[in-house]
Amino acid sequence: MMRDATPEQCRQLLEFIDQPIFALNLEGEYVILNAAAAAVRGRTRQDQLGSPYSRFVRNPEVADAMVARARAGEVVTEKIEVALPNGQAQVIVDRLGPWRDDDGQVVAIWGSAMDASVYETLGEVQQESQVLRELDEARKNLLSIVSHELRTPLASIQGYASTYLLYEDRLEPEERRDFVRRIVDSTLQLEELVDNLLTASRIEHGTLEMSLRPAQLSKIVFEAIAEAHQRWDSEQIEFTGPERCELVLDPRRIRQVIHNLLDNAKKYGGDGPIEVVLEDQEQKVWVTVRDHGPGFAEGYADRLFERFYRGRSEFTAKGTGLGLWITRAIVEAHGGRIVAASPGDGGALFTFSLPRGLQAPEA
Amino acid sequence: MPDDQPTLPILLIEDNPDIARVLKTIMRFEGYEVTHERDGINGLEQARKPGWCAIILDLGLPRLSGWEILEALRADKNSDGPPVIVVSATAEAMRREEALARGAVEYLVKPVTADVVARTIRQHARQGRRE
Repeated sequence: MMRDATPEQCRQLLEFIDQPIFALNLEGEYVILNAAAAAVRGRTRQDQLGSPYSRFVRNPEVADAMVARARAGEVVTEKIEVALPNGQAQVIVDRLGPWRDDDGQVVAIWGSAMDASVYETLGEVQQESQVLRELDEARKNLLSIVSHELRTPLASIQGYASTYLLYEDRLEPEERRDFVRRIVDSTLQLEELVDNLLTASRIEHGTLEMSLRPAQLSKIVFEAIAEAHQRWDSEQIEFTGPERCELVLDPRRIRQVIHNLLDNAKKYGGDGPIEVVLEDQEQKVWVTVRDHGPGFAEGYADRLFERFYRGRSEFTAKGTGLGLWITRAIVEAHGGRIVAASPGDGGALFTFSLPRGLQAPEA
Repeated sequence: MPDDQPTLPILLIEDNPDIARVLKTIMRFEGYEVTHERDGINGLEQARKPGWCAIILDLGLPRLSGWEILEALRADKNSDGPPVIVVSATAEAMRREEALARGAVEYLVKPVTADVVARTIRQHARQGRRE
């Protein structure tokens, strides 16, 4: 039993631990060091026992402050630059804390050390596992999110169709036509949702295939805008760019990209104007979609493209959280890049590039 | 048919334009005069006005949720307030219980057919104007 351990057994235990462990008296001088702790400073145990904690250190003010805080009962972790005997320095992370007696009085200071790179890796591992946990959570939520997203166009189809049936003879002819048109639009919305889900699954399994051929990018953009105007029943998208812009791409996938970006602009920009700019440069073609919503906070530009990330807006979080992730995967599969920015004068801006050098496969 | 009767004022609080359009059409044919609000703040302001024979309420609304509207109406302690019919996209049974506990008289889950909406409104809406 540990409480019956002799001082010699305690010493053996300390030596057994391969993590550097040491103790300081209240003056901050080494009184105990295990072999691993002695090795960290690159000195013998005899050299260090009785010497101040800050002695072989290049930032002694940090070391002294740590001792003072540990003496006051605090646990502190800081980076220490150890001055090695060969004149070089090594950064380590030391942790100091109070060693109390049975009455709770601080009688000495415990210490442990860790290689700075190990410490940082540990931090990264913790961060990574946090990201994995969030991803797992998102996966669990995906089913309920998808069913909610399916329900919206379904509700609209069922609503229009059943209203048509119930009041057919009282609806005006123009109203009837409009109801049918809205049913068709909702089925398109369903089709796009299913398309995005299938694409997401292909990206995840690494089986996203591109069917590259020469196409008019400007035509794809015009069509996507016209379709969005019809779907939203508004004319809020303004286009700037050349009438013709031919390059090799996968037309269906790029249509999906533009559709996703427009949809995103509508979702977060509301009824404000949306600008689409097409720039044809020698090596690349750039497409920018800009909304005039509240934009996003600095530092979130990369998060937006993460899978399952859904921004908040006054129009509440909607969508599967897959759209921008899919968009980036498609752009990158074309050898292009996509970036997001939230300019100072408001709104969010998404710009993607497509390279001119792509070759269509031989027919 | 209700067409021959004087129209009754009904309040619709719904942000989805398609669902709103469908519900407005149904209510018009059932003989109601519809006032439509698209967000929670304006919706609550309207809901507090007297005279509605019923309120049709969506839960996921911008600015102020339908839950908060239910809560606010209940806190007004107006026991004689109009019946509130919730139309929600969430099918979970717990949500339904919660909405009824907060004072809703009925909880319909989207997608919902026109005849169910029409029947529910007929069943719950007051048949006269109350000032």
